[in-house]
Amino acid sequence: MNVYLKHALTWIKSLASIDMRLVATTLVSIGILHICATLASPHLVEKTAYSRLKATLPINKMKILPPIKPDAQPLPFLSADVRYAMCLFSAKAGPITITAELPDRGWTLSIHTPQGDNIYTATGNTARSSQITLQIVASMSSFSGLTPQSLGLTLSEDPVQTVEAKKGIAILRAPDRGEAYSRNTILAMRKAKCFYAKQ
Amino acid sequence: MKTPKQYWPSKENTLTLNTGHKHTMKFAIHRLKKRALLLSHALSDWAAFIGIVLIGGIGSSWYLVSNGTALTTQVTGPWVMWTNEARVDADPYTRAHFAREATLNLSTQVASTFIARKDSDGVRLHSSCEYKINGKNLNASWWSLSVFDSSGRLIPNPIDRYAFTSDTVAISPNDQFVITLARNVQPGNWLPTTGAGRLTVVLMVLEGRNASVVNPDEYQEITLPEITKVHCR
Repeated sequence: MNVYLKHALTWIKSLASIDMRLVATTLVSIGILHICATLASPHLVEKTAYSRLKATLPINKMKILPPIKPDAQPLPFLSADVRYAMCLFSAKAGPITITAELPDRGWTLSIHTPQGDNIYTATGNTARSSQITLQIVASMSSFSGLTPQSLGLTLSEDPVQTVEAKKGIAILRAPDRGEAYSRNTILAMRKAKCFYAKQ
Repeated sequence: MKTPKQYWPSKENTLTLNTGHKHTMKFAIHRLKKRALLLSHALSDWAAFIGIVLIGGIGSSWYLVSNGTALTTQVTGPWVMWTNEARVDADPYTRAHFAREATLNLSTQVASTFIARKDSDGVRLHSSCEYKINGKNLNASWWSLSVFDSSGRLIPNPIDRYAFTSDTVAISPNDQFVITLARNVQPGNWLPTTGAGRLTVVLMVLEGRNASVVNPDEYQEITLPEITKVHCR
């Protein structure tokens, strides 16, 4: 027992010889660098999902992508279980209108910012087909002219939802049920529009 | 008596001069060595300090962004889910993780994306082995299960099959399903893994019944499937 006690005392004494100021400085420096590296990490990524898609998609136009295959996979972990229609939008010049029909369960319409945040999602259900009309505005706080509705340019009778985003990607996902359903799926996807609503 | 004028130093004087010069040289070299030693000590201390800070700071950030922690991920058996994926209020680790992955997934408010890189025994999934994914039909609006290589690329195969969904999977009368990950043709729900190396299985559950609980009495847990190794080559 005494031997262990002596060892413990020797160990405690050896701790006293460590420069605690240096240890504290090292730990604080590690912490600061850790925080900086974590916060800077998204900005240091060479190819984000947005930058990869930006090169292949037209602006303010919905494009139906071909079926996802190993040689036609625009993003990693992009599953081949659904068909995709994407629109790269920019609301700097004015509000962008996105319309889509979600006829069944598994169908989704989502809006993503260039940073990858999913700021809006609508999902389909089996009970009834959902018609979605979205208006994307650059800023809700500043007055950017009269809305299309106030000018008598209401696009549909469906309620219009407003989302704030300067630019981003709208993604329509349609479950791929196989060859037998593909024609109907494509027909429903073609109804999706993404355009600059001129005032 | 007049001493003769000496034009050259005597033997004794020469010795004295030489030894004095040698001592001075030795002292200068010793001083130089000491300074160099002090400088190298100071430099090595700084190098060690900077090295520890760099490895500790960047290494810990890299590890937590890649693997997550109990605060950022939810681990259920072999399945890992980033709890704040694609959310506007996501934490910096989640944000950095998905920026690096370059994915555009749905937010966890509507969908849960579970990723498995290991089987239920904790062993890395590999295409040289055959696996059975056993589960009960998930209590969700829609779900899909896809297999990728370790970098998120689809695995090329002659039948162009990369995923099963709640619409396409064959479910037994007792509401169970079995999906087989294997190189060679298998009966039932077969996902080919032809020589891809390390595998990643992604399970996306859309509007799982526990995603948003309106009525607490209707709360039901999603039972995630098990991944069992059958055999390896």
